[in-house]
Amino acid sequence: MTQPRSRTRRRGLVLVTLLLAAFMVEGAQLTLLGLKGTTTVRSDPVETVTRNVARPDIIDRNGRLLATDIALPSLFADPRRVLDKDEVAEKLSLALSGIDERALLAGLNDKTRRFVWIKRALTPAEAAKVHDLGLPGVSFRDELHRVYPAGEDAGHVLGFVDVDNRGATGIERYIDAQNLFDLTDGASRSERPPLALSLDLAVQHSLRTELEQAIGDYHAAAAAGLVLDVQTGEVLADVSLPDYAAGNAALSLQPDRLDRIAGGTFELGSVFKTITLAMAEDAGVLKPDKTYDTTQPLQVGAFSIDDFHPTRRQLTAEEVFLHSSNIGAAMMAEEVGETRMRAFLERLGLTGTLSTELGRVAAPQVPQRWGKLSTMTISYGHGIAVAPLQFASAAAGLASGGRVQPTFLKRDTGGQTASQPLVAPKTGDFLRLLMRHNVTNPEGTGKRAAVAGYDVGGKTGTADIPGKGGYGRHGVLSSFLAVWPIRQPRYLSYIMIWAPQPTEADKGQTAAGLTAAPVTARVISRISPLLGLAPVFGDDG
Amino acid sequence: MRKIVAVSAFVALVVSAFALYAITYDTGRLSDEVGELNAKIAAREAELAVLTAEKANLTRPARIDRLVRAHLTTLRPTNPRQLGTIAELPWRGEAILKDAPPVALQP
Repeated sequence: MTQPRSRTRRRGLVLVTLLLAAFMVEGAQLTLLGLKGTTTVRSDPVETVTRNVARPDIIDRNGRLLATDIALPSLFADPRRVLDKDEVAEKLSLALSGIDERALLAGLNDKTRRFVWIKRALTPAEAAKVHDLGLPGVSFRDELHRVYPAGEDAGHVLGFVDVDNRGATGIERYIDAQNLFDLTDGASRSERPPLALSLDLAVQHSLRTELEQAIGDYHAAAAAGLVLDVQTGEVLADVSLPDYAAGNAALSLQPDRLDRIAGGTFELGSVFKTITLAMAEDAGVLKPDKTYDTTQPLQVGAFSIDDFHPTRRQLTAEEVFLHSSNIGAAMMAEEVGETRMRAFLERLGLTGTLSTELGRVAAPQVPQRWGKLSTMTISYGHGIAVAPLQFASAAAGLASGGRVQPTFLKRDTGGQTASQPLVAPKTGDFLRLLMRHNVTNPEGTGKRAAVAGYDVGGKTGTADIPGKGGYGRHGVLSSFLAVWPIRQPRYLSYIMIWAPQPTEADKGQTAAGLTAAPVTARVISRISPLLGLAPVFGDDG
Repeated sequence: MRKIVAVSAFVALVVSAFALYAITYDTGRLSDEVGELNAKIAAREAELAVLTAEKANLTRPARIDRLVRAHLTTLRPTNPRQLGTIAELPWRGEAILKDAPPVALQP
């Protein structure tokens, strides 16, 4: 009697214990879920959906919007849910532009795929058209799409992104390289602060229109220019024409649209005498009453060096600069010597590699065997080819006294960045005086660069463009290097015009003093007020 | 006694069950509302981005420049001589104050 009863009891106890344990497990699980908070379960209707790349806005130094993301619908298909593939392919290729019907049909017939892009970034009108077709298996997905509201003025600097919104060139590539973007599932915009460039859009546009004008006026092949803040190295404007609007990847591939400022090296010609004179002064070979005999061309072996504007007399160092005498510059370089010249160019950063946020600047081409002839031709800017940005940085270093690292990003602190002095203050003063005289002196080659109130100093450069058959058949590269206000340098501009054609007003001359110099004057008088530089009218204009 | 306890426990059970479900439904409704609002915010932000881009596009220097050249044909580029500071203006304060008519206060 007692036995069966205790057995029943035990069974009941086991059952209760089991149930209790089960409830405890469930309770614990519920508590855990409650503590963890939101565990959202997602299910994607399609397996292979690429994630969106959200990029920060790009603004100029004054906060003007240069690049931003906007959400646009993209069209895709799930081949398994498409009923009539031929109908879909036909109707879509009729409704939308830029659709390859055969490729689309091939994609839809691919049984291994459940996701086929049909078209990325549709306009709202296109999206409405497709929506009205009511095709099953075809759906939209919002994607972030990069737009450049003011992109026509700064294509080379901004660059472009690929179809997945990843940076391909320019500052866009820098954003990717620095991991400044975010991956998102939806089409939500980046919450990062905007990237502020050193560019000033107003200055950039002014420079671009003046260069466009110059190409028209002189029927030139190309033109380029940049404006640097010599204290901070910030690039305020950077234009290379012909160019492409930011985001226009197809156009950027045309070879003549390369970025001539940082992406190409050129023999710059006599602007290099700025460096030569500074070097000669730095090396102490210049004496106040020393003259250079330019009465006849200089013979170096089989090579003859002559002047572009021959004076055929004895010239002082300053006159060598003012008349842009190749003979005089070559003599100075010979006095300084090959070793000291190489060291000086290296100190200025003209022979090494230079990198900016836009990537590595085209490497300078220096002679492999640097002999006496090279030393002499380099003194007037031939036999060495450097990227204009690299040359401008070196010149900015000479003008400001310290090494200048060009940057395309706005520097946080205004004012001078600390750097070791590049040349003795005396050399800098000497060079600034030369550059100023070259503009104020009626005999100076740079007199057409004068702008009342802005104390411009500068140097011309007219270089033969090398090509098939050597020099002399492919026109000249006219350029002008300007620094202003010269007493306390703030800005530097370097403007280049490729193969300007002679105009009647200039009596068939294409020298830089008649082409690049007046363009520089127009640029300076236009952009200085934009940069907040007040004109000062002193004794010398 | 036992009955009272059992009945009150049952009542408490029913009441708490109702309360629990009410809270659950409320939460669901509220989270739906949050979702809706977030979607609205996202939509507004997207619209804002488009409008900001459009504004930047319409005020870009290239366009303003083109419009100025087309319509304000009497304007000429500024000359540095036209620029100055307030400090450069001659002081005419007393003369102005003397000649100026008494300022009429707005009613």
